[in-house]
Amino acid sequence: MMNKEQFIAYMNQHLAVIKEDERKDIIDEYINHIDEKVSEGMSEEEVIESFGNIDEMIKEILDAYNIDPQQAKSTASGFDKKVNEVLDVLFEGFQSFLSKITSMDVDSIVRLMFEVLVVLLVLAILRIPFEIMESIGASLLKSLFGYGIGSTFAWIWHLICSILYIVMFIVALINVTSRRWTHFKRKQNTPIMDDVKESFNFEQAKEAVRRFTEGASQTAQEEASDTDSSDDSDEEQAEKTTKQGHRYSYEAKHDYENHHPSLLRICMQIFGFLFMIPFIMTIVVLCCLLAWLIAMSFQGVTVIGFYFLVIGAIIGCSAVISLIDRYLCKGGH
Amino acid sequence: MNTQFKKGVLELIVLLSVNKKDMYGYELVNEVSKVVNVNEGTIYPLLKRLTNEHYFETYLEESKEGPPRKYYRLTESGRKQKKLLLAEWTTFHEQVNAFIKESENDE
Repeated sequence: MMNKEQFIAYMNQHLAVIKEDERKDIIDEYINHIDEKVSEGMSEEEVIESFGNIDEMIKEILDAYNIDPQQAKSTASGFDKKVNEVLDVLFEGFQSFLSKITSMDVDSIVRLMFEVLVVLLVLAILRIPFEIMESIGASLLKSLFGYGIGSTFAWIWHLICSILYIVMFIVALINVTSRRWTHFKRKQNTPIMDDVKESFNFEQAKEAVRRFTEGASQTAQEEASDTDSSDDSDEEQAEKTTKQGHRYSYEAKHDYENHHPSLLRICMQIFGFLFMIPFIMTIVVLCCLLAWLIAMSFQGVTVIGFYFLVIGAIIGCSAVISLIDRYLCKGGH
Repeated sequence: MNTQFKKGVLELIVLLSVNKKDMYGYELVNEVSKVVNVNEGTIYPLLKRLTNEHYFETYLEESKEGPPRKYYRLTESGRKQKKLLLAEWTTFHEQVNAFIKESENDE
């Protein structure tokens, strides 16, 4: 037997994964319901009893948001929740990226990897003129201003050069990748689905393909039906549909792996994973740094500047991951 | 009554109710409970899902008795979904009935 307060607390705790305003929205509905019933003469406990199995109800609410209840169970409230949210986003990005990579055919993965390597090589060579520019500038500044102030200026010069290089590096990488990607898509007109279909003979696997195509067409349908609704709901829907798409593609991929474990494929998967490692490592390190900074700020040390830098870097890093993911996503469907 | 049966038809009943007139949560729950005997707690998640799927849109309206109420209104895609479900239900209902008649004749 629960009273209203206990019920609200229980709901809040178990729906912690849902965004606060959404959570409040659904819980408010229940509060209104209880209040109305109480004004009709029922007791709070009786009303809550009439809801039936509350855990079942929570499962259905989570289901309305396409959240796996099993996953939601492990989440707590407050700070933990925030961390979990961040990690969830990162994990989701990583997972969908991985699933996109692994659902591509071997040939295209090899080609993509090769192209990325070439781009990286070119950028590494481009580092040389930057290096020269940096050292010339630094020595010039030192000789102009003397060793004391000169070295400070030189340091700033180094910093500017590094930032410039990094910006150029990222812009070039994104540019080249996107251009290569569209080029790549045009050259290869056969969709990945055909390859996948060809490679299965098992009845069960066909089922997976069917599910996958259903998921994809459903996504397309929903997206199409959504074009006439308002802007911000569009965004929400798109977000939801891509999530759904990921879920389906992930399922299909999973089945595919179970039925078709070729050695080359596994190698490709491992390679794809290795490719992601620097990004994941950066995020892990940044998260550790963030945790450390938070601990520091609890001790009274003001590190607000660093704090923002680290958060910015985390966001930047996850943006890079999602950007890569988006390009792969375009190619995938 | 079988809960699986109820679940399937609940969405249709909710869509039909809101199609008649805009309703707020509690009112809708009462309306639905008149037709099917269902745990009242399970209707709100359904409303949430239908809203998330853009079949419903919501707006707040002042009430005399208490805090402002959240009303549900059927959207264009909601109307489409209602039509679809209604058509599905009708064919399903006819087929099942026809089959029942057929099996009764055999006895």
